[in-house]
This record gives sequence, C-alpha cells and structure tokens, in this order.
Amino acid sequence: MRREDIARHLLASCSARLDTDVGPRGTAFFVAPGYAITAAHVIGGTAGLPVWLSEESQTWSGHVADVLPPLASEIVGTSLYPAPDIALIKIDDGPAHACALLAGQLPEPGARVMTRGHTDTFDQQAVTAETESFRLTGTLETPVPGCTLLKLGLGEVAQGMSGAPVVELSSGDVIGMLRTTRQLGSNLGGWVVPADLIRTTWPDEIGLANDRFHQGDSRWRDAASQLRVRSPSKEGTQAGSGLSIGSVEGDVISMITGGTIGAVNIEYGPAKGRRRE
Amino acid sequence: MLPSGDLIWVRVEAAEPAATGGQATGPTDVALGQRTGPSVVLHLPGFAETVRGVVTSVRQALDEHRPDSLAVEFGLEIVMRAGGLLSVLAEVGATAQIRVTASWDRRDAATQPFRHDESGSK
Repeated sequence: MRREDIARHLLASCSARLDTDVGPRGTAFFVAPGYAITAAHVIGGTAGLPVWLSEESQTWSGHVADVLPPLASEIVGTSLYPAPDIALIKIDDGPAHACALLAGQLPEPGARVMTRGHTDTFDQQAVTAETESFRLTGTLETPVPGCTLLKLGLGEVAQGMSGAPVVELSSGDVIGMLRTTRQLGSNLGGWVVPADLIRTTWPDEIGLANDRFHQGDSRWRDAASQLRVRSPSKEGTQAGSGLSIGSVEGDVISMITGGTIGAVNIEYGPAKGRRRE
Repeated sequence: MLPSGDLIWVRVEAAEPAATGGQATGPTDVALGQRTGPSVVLHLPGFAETVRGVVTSVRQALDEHRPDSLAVEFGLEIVMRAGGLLSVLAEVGATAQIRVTASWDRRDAATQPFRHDESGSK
C-alpha cells in the first residue's frame, strides 16, 4: 500500500462531515472518546449549537461544548474568524470511533502532509470526501499571544475543508486542523491550527484523553508505523545489489477500526524495472 | 434577528472583484456555505426604526386626505459593514422604491382614488 493510501485511511478513520440544522458546514475529527473538534467558523462560533457528524454509514449527534474565541455580537463583513478558530464538540450519541493521534511537537519544515475534508468541489452541491497533499512551508503568528499557525503550500484548500485533520506523511501524526485557504482556487495552501495548541486549549478533554486513548489502543500507531517503514529516504530505495527494500501491505482501515490485522511483507529480490547496465 | 426576536433570512451577496472573476482574494475561511455568507444569527438593530420611519412619513403625507385604507410597499437594502449589520433604506444603489396605495370607499365617491408612486435614487 502506498504512503498516501495509508494516510488517507488514517484520516478517514477519524474525520467526519459536519452538519448543522442548515445543512453541511464542513469537517470535524475525533480527538478523544466522545470529543471531536472543528473550526469555530464552521459552527458560526455558537456554543451549544446541535451538530451531526457522519462518515459513510455512521452518524453521531452532539453539541458545541466550547468555542475559542466565541462569536462576537458584531460581525465584521468579510474578515477572517479570529484566531485560533477552534471549537470542541461533545458527542451525545453514536457508535464508538477512532481518535486521531495528535502530534506532540511541531513537524519539520518542508514536511509532507495530507488532509481529508468534506467539500462541494465536484459540482458545488453534493458534499463528498476530498484529499489533498501539501508541504509545510512556514508559520504565521497571530495577534493572539501564543497562537502561531502553520502554513501549508503546494496544494489546494477547498471549501469544506475547514475543521479537517492534517496528517504528516512520514509519521502518521496529526499535526493540526485546517481552517483557512491562503487563496481560493490556487495551490497556495492554507493555515493550520497546530495540534499542540488544541491539546493545551482543552488539556483534560483532549490533551490527557488523547494520550490515554492511544496508550490503551495501539492501532493508530501500528498503522502509522507502516509510514515510518516507508520513510522518504527509504521509499523506492534500491540496494546496490539490485534488490528492492520491500513493500508493506495491509488493510489499514481494518486495523484502525478493529478488523483483521494487515500483513507486512518484506520482499527481497531483483528490483522491478531496474535497468541492468 | 429582528428586535422583536423574530428570525428572518437574509441573502448576503458579496461584491465580485472583477480582476479575479468573482474569486475572493487573499486568505478565506473554508467552511461550506461561505459562498453565501455565514449561517449565523445576525442582529438588525435599525430595522424597526427604519420601518417605523417610512410608515410614519407616509401617514403624515396623506393625513389631510384621510384615506380609508393605506398600503405601503417598500424594499430594504440590508448591508453588512464593519461594526455589524444595519438595515438601510435607499442608501445603497439606485433601485429603492416606495409604492403607496391609498383608497377611499363609496361614501366618499366624490373623492378620486389617490395613487402615488415615489421612486427614489441617490
């Protein structure tokens, strides 16, 4: 399985479409048992708002438990939602779910990342899942003390991706939550609220609970370990003797959701397509 | 939200930058529904005052004719600005119109029906 496929399955296991009573609004992802997060502007900055999450045949109902910052009484026309633009969702009813593994540290500059959101890109009506990959290009300080956003480039942020998780392709860690495009219709990327800020904003509901979940459930780390096996420096590398390093195969989504564990096959032999001199 | 507490739907149309073919420029939050504006409760603090002002003005204008019935039709331009939403009549554009229809019943047959269209532009 390719690195991008593994990442896509990881993202699909923790993310969901978010609806309010007016219809689809964007994306959310689970970060702890009974808790998900999204961007504050996705839910209109309104604490207490009922929301519904859905992914394939599964649905969850919940409400907005906290918003940072809450919606001001007055709205400035076309300005961005103030930083950090995050909302905590308490799940009131629904099946058990996987949780994203939130990164404990900032990714390296230039890191390759991928997101998966629920967008209306196809025909601006139907809402479907869409993935996109980016490079981490820098950081952006905000007027809010201690709130520095991550900047992505070399990929398009589509409408509906607000609230989507961003996973680092070399580690499988979720580095943060997508909130803003730097330019619609371009590949200029967007802005991400770092995972560390999400952790510290709700230290009990998310910070500790996320650590506790993954201490007791190794499925995400097991699946992510396949990404580390295929680290960029090793991926496609061919030994001097003409042997390929091998391949990793397995049903990652089943591993995450508790199904059959996939297999890791290490194959040694002549590299395919290698030209012999 | 009206001052009475009632909710009304408002379609907010953003001006389209000509150079970008309608595409917003610069950073933009990417929730669904952003194309038509945020789906949140917005307050219209000037709505009641505007309506009351129009109706009062029309009634005063026709007071000496004492119509038996009076209908006033007018449109409201609702504009979004920094600092909040304001309901504004005929402040934006040149299409605002007030239509006043006054009528008298047969007891006052000697008096001709009065109809007055007033178009205002800025």
